[in-house]
Amino acid sequence: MRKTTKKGLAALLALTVVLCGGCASKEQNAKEAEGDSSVRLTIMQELFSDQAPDMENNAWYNALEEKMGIEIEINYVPTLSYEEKVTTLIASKGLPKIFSANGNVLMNNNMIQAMDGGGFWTLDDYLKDYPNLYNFIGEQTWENCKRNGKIYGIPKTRILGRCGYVIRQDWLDNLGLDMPETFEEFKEVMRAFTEDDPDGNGVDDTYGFVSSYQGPYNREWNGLEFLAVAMGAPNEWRYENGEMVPDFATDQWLTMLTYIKDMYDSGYMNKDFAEITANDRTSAFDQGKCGVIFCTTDDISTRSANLTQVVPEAVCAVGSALHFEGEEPKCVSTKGFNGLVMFNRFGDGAIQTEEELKEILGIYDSLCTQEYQDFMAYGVKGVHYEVQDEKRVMIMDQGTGKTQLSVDTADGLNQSFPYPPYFRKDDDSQMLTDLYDSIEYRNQHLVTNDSIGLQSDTYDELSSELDNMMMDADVKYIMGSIDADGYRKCVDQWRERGGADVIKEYTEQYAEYKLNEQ
Amino acid sequence: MAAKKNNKIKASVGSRVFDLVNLLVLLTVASACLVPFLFVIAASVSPLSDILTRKFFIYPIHLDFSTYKYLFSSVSLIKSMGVSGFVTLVGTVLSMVLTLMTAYALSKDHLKGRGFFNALIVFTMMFSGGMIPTYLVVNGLKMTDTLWALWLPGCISAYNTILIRSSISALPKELEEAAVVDGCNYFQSFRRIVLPLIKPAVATFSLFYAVGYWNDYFDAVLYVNNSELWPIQVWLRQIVLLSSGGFSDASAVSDIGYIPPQNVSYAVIVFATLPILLVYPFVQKCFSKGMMLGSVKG
Repeated sequence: MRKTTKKGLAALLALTVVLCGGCASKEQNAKEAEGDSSVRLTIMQELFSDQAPDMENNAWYNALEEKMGIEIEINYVPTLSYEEKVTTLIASKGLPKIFSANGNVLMNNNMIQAMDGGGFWTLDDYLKDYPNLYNFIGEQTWENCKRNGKIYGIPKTRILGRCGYVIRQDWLDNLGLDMPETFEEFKEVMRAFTEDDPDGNGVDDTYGFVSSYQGPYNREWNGLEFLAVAMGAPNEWRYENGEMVPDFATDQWLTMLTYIKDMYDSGYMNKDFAEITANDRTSAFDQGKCGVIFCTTDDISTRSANLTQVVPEAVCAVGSALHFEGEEPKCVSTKGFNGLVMFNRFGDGAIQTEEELKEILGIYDSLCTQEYQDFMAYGVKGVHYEVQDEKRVMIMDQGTGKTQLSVDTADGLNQSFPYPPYFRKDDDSQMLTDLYDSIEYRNQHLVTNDSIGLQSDTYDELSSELDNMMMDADVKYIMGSIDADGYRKCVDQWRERGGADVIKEYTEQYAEYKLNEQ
Repeated sequence: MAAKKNNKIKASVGSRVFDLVNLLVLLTVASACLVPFLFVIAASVSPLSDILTRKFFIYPIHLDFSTYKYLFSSVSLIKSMGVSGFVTLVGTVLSMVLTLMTAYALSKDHLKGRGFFNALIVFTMMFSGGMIPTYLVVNGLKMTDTLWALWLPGCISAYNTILIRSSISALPKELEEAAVVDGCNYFQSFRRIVLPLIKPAVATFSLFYAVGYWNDYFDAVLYVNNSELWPIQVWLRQIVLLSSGGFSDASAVSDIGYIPPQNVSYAVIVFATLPILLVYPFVQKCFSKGMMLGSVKG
């Protein structure tokens, strides 16, 4: 008896050691396999979809590797845990050569320390050798993504003129109204949506627009910024007369608040806007209760898909850029990018030499040419797309209902490769074509945020407190608890709490980095 | 044949009313716990429009199995279910074996340095290294990207060890002394005397460990880069939070090309919770076997 138990224990111990040892050797094998001279890209990026692509039998990536003569290895991390993973890898010096850094990661303290400490390659000096890449991103976006005057990575381009609203075209048709162009027309349409029974069911169950003011970003996507900028307010910050001015300190902002307050009092918007979440507001629109939702214009695809489940005859349209009678429209501009593709310089997995960096930049440069852009949009002929009636049509994957290209790349190409904000494809629907047209129109009338790329330590420290102060003031004004004087008092309180320092710091930074280039 | 005398003590009216009220209250609480479950199961087989308009309450009005078809359309979710099952099974066995052996040794009064070891274990309950130092340790031991990173770092729970140690200490010493007199060594008396007596404790803590391993997603994301080795919880969290709009970075709204519709997230919830739910009734049998105290007579 004794012997068997002792033997059993010994066997268990041996097994443990063997397993641990076996696992370690797998890593060594992988490293030995790469010894050939082709460039090897190791990439880490967020996974947004619910299935990770199979990297070994991946038609798209294998084809890319063949075309360019390189090797690609991608590490997917679920988006919700991305920030923690990146900070852990920074601390343990385990970052791969290339990784995608989103907004949250870029604001993380560990990341900022690593950036300032030279942990990542700065690209300013190299860009002139890569004209394709430079022109692809565009000068304005390169400017916007600078930190302390240096470029820390390739910005992931996003649509500039994204802020807008989606409107129920079928309700407009039912009531015989045109798409509103001016603010007065918009208010009239809201009134009609609320009082004139646009869905024709004889019940008074509709209202004009839905909004939710919970959370800091909802200010951007929930109508406040959109309307304010259209009325002439700055896009968050404007440099005027030698000083940076925040939007809520201007008269136009108050005009916008009064405009919304009017509609709130008349019942053209949801009364619970201060409590509901962004999700509740999309549900309200998807259930057909209201006619307009302020959002990002490319949301129209999801809104339309969900809405037609509930109301099959509904038609969505992208709202027009509102403006004052006789004036040009003014549209909110986003930064034009969302995060950076950064090139790692420290740790074992890094890009060690300048030559390697130049090789990799060369690869990115060729990815910006039309040939590769088409490849990223359409994929491999016969696998991802086929030609029908001289148009390229995407092949769908049977099980999941997504395109085969989507499955193979997990919609993640825009995370680590130069990818345009949107593609016009041969088989776009009318809705998508209208969307892209409206985006291009908006891009002609943009108002940029002058504080992009500038640093304010006070703001980094107190951002949630300062932002919430003004969000509360906005809500109170709309609901009528405070009047215009009360609102101005809130702005003064904001200044006292730290806003004055933020203004000072932004003004200094602007003078240092931006005035020189004007 | 004497009439059967009613020799039950008739419960007073007050006591019966109390029983009734008790029953009603407990039924209400139980149904309050049950209703969300039924809703989730019903929602997982309903079409999206029903969910968006809240047409149904507990049982589905229209049946739509497309969500389950979608889940099983790619192998990855089934594979990750397998990984979850494997991790839970091996992890529970490993944890229980190590915890029981540790607790047994610590329960012996004559163990040299017993106070020291006990203090050390309690210390870990209160202070932990933190995420990054732990990662550095796991990485340094070459456990990253293997399943060992899911098992070893949290293998023995200090809390469970202390509880099991207490329950072993509570056993009468005479039992073991009697065994020693009959010629048992430590291993034998552990296996034959102590283990059967603490079966309810073993069952309980096995369940705790199993649920802990089953639910773990963060360790997997942190240590395992290979997406084939991710347990189902990682996908569950991804699908549910993405479909309900819980983006980590609000400006990343544009990056999410495909948002899973809500009924798919309900289906994933059912898929990921069902196995562990089904384990519970089987384990419950062991809870009800009471301890056999008083087996030493005289």
